[in-house]
Amino acid sequence: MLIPKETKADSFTEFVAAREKQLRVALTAAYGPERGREAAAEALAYGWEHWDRIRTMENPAGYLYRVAQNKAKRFNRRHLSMPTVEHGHEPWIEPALPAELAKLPDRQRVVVALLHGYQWSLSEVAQFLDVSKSTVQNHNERGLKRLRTRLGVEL
Amino acid sequence: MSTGLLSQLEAYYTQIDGAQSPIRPDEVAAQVDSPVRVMSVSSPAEQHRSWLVVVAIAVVVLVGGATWIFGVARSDSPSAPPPTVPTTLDLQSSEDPAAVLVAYEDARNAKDVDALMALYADDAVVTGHPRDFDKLAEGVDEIRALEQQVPSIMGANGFTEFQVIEVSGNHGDVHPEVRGQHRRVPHRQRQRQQGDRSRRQDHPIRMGQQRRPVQLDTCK
Repeated sequence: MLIPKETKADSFTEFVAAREKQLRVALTAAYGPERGREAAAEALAYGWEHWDRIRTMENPAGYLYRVAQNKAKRFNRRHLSMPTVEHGHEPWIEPALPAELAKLPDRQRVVVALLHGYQWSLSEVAQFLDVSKSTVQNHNERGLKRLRTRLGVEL
Repeated sequence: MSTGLLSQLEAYYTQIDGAQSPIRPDEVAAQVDSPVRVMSVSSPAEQHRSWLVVVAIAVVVLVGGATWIFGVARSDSPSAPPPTVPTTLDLQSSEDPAAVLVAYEDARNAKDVDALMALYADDAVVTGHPRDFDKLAEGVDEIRALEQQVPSIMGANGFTEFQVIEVSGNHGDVHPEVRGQHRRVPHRQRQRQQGDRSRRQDHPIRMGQQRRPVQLDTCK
């Protein structure tokens, strides 16, 4: 089925307007701001090229997230760097938080960031990552526990 | 001084989000290897040029395929230029770029060099594929010399079919398929003989986004 160019472009533009941030923040959580943004742009480009097929999917954003993950394999996982905390930030943030976030397993970091950094709901995260809520909950609990232990934060 | 971990996470990612700008459409377009990013061509001259490149690519692929299939590359002239052909079509005779490509296909299969040359502009330039390939011929004289080599390469019964003609804006792409000697009549020609033009007329004009884009800035 061939789609007229205008329809395709409009449809894709709507998708980008609605889902660009979702995709970008999820990939930022996974790969840091710079690489995450780059991966998101690549994934959206892939989305445009294959929009005829992807637009019919149940979860196009989730699919593009996995596309971006594949494209991001070239990134050296060990050199993931999270931006440092700005001085004088309110509320106060542990200076070691970025480094400890970078040390978390990818899935735990993404879940923790989406749930608590970007205030997604459990359902939204589960749907986006195409996993069950209990899986998200497990990653969240483990990630938070590890952060609390390493940062010495009780709350 | 002590803040909860969840509050810290929220504050930290708010800081990151504030420093990050949304992805602009042009950034997406820059990543796309498709015609969507080279569509802003409006002048007739530029449209003209784009079709020249399309046809050049088609012909180079066609001739290369024919050479490979029929094995008639001449061993006695290894330094001869690649049997590539023309590029520049005079679109003034037709409003429909796809029709020009069909006319080109017909002339090629008829081995009618004069008909082919009628499709070229006087200042036509033939380049190879990919687009940064060297220029092979310029002007009608050089192009005619190239064209005249093609029938001998294709063989007596060799012909080609443009299986798909994709037109997107003022860009197009063709996918030539070289046929061997076992078929005497090209499919399109047989259709024409049968008076059935419906298939061609209904041939979808696809907005191909997976094809290599035709870059206009390399046109002569």
